[in-house]
Amino acid sequence: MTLGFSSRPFHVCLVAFIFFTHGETGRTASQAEIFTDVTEQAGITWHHFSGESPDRFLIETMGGGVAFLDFDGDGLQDIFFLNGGETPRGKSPTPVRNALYRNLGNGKFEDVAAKAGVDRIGFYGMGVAVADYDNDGFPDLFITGFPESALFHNNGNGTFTNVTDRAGVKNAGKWAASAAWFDYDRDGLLDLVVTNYAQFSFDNPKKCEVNGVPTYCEQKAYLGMPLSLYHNNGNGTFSDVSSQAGFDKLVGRALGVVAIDVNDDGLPDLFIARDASPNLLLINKGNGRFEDIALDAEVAYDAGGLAKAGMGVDAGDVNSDGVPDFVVTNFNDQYHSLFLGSPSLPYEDRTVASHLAEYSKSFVGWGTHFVDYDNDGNLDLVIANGHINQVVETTRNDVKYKEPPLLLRNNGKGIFQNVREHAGPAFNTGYSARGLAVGDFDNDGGIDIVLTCLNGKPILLRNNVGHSNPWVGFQLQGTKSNRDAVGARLTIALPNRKLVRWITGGSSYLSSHDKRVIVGLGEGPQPGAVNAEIRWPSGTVQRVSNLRPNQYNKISEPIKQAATAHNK
Amino acid sequence: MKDYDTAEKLITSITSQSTDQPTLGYELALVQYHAKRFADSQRTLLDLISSGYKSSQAFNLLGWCYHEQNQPMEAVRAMQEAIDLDPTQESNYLDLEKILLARESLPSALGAAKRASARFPDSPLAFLMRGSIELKMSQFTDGVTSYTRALRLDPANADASLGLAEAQSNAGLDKEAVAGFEAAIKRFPKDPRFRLQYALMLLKQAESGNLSAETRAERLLKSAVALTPPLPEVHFLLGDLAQKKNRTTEALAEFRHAAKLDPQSAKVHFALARIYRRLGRNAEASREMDLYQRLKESESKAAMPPSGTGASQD
Repeated sequence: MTLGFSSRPFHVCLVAFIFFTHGETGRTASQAEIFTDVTEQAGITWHHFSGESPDRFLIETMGGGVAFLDFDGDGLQDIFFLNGGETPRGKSPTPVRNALYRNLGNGKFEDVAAKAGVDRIGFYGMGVAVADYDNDGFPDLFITGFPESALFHNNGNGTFTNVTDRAGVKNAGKWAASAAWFDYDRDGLLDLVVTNYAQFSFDNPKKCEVNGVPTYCEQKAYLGMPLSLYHNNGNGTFSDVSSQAGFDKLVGRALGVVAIDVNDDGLPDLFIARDASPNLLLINKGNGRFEDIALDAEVAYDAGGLAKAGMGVDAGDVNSDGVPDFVVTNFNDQYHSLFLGSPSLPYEDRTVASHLAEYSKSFVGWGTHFVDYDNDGNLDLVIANGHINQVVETTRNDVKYKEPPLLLRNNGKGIFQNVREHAGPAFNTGYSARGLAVGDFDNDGGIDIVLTCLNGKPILLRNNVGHSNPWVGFQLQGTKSNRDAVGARLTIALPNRKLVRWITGGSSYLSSHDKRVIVGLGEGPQPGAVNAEIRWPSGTVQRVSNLRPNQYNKISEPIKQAATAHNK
Repeated sequence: MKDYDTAEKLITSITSQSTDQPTLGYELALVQYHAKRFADSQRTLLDLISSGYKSSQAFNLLGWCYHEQNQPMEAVRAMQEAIDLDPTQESNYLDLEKILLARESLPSALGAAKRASARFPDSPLAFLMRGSIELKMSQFTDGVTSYTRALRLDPANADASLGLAEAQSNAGLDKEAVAGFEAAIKRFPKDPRFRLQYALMLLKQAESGNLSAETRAERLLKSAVALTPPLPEVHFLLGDLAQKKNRTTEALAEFRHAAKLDPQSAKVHFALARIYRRLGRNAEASREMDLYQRLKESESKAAMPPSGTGASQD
């Protein structure tokens, strides 16, 4: 496997169509903190409802999907919050509804979910995956849940239509958690993988207690499920190809998924985080089938053969070697895991050496994402935490029910430092956080964060420090490739280093992100303009030059045949 | 040598002349139980009981017969009957807890332990057992309380000292746990369990950033190797440490040693599979992986579903 691009011919294309500059943010917060909680001033009042009940159904502890998306194409990231639902004895006094917050561009948001037709679903909601599956230029919504899932097609006029039945992606009878759009067969159409969690029924509450207090049974009380894979037929319908792909054999409690090309063969692979089932690293064989190499990669179990409680997952290059690395969130005492990739197997478990073990010992982790919050060129890490059982505090002193999110700064070598002291009050406050999505809602080049909280209000965190270093933003538009360019790899050559970023499918937990890529340029010698290489999902390799820092650049995949194909 | 056949023949030969039929019947059942003829022992006891000789002792043994024959409900019922017939006999409560523990029925075991500790408030054994169940259920702060009580009642009890330090360590009371382990190692220098548990705690601390803890842990483990009984976990941990430091030959030797001491340990076979795979010895790796999978499967079949905070399904 080669990681460099010096030996390959390129199609050179000057693009740099600048379409964003610094946005209006209405910023008033202290610059001393890295992130400011702007939920209230943004006008976000939506509240998650889990249906918590005396039956203590495990599903009550796990929901809270969230997505950044520009649903109306106005260049501003909107936010979709997916609600949970009622349970037989956990009823809501008001209708359980989702929220679609339209970004008004002045730091304020307006809930237009009802108008858009996505405020209600007929099942218990879990997660959301956003992508333009029909390449019409408008992002669509796939909503996971129990006992079914739903696909909402974006009509391009501010409304959505539920096309689940026609599309054939109902995923009926399954408790679906996360989902990822990715083009596994590189036909230019995004396919869909869904992580199904466990066999479940509201008719069969499992009973557990601590000192006479009913509580949630552990995940092992629930048998796992196989993954679902839906192939996009290109005509608004999908085919369930789970068996053909070999996914029907992969039974376990799957929660998180990220799609990324781990072996640099141009085909998107999958990392699946599973809860007390071994994680999966599914290599795309290019013939519609996938091979699990998690055991050889040493990412399936810990050193003692224990399958950790994997929840969320993300991929990115934390040590600047051009190879994707993975973070997986787990239960308290298990530590959230960091696996460093290398051209050969196994992966290196850097959980302890990276200090991730130290910072995550007491936490149950969920959503997570690599973010370069200060644009220094190093991928930092943000993690949503929160225990599932209120009674945990009666059993030990060092684990709390509500836990703070983590913001960990990367020194560029995959060693993290907890920056909670400067991160802002949200990182020093306990929450029952679950979903986590990242996006630049004020278009200032600083990546912002949104978290959902079980039975609580979400938290929108505005980044105050993104501007402290120069950055370059990318908005890719596929032509031969899928329009969202999911699966693209960007390589940015700086005078003193090379940065590699991917547009991944899925990632985090139940959540979906701004698909634009922000690359921090750091403090080193600055180029007058930035050059980048884009390897599109189709295999086309394109070099773009003269990208100016501190702006988003809209780049279309070249249509000309002159582009060099990179098919292995 | 235990000659159960002869013992049974002797008991049978004098039964007809004896005036103490219940005692002889019970002794016969006991011999059959020790000879691992659990069905025969059960039959003898049921005959005895049906002829009117109901004793706490007989029901206790009957409970164990059921337990050995994988009839958990009957075992629990018999043991409960033993308790009802003689509520002053502490061993009946403890045996009930052991049977419930063996079937991973943790909440019921804890319920029985709470009844026992209430009935026998001056019994270190009752609190020791309760503490061990609480530890298993991850109810660490409760475990600290129970073990503290057990140790107060029997300050020379090594199990109570060990349990207390372990519970403190898991409850996040690291300072107290360190003090407990250090004192216990001085007091029980030949007991390797203290060194092992202390090392486990230190290794956790090392993973969480306390780098000097790892050196101390390794020293403790090495000193535990010389003590008896040999603990497979000590060798597993030494192997794990060696592997982390890329001392592959040493790691392999330690894992092999651990496997020899405890061939039923799934994690040891997993570690062996991993190290063989790294060494490119693929046949051995897949053999060890098969063993791991098989042991893991039987572990999960045996275990009832545990819970995230110690709550268990009953």
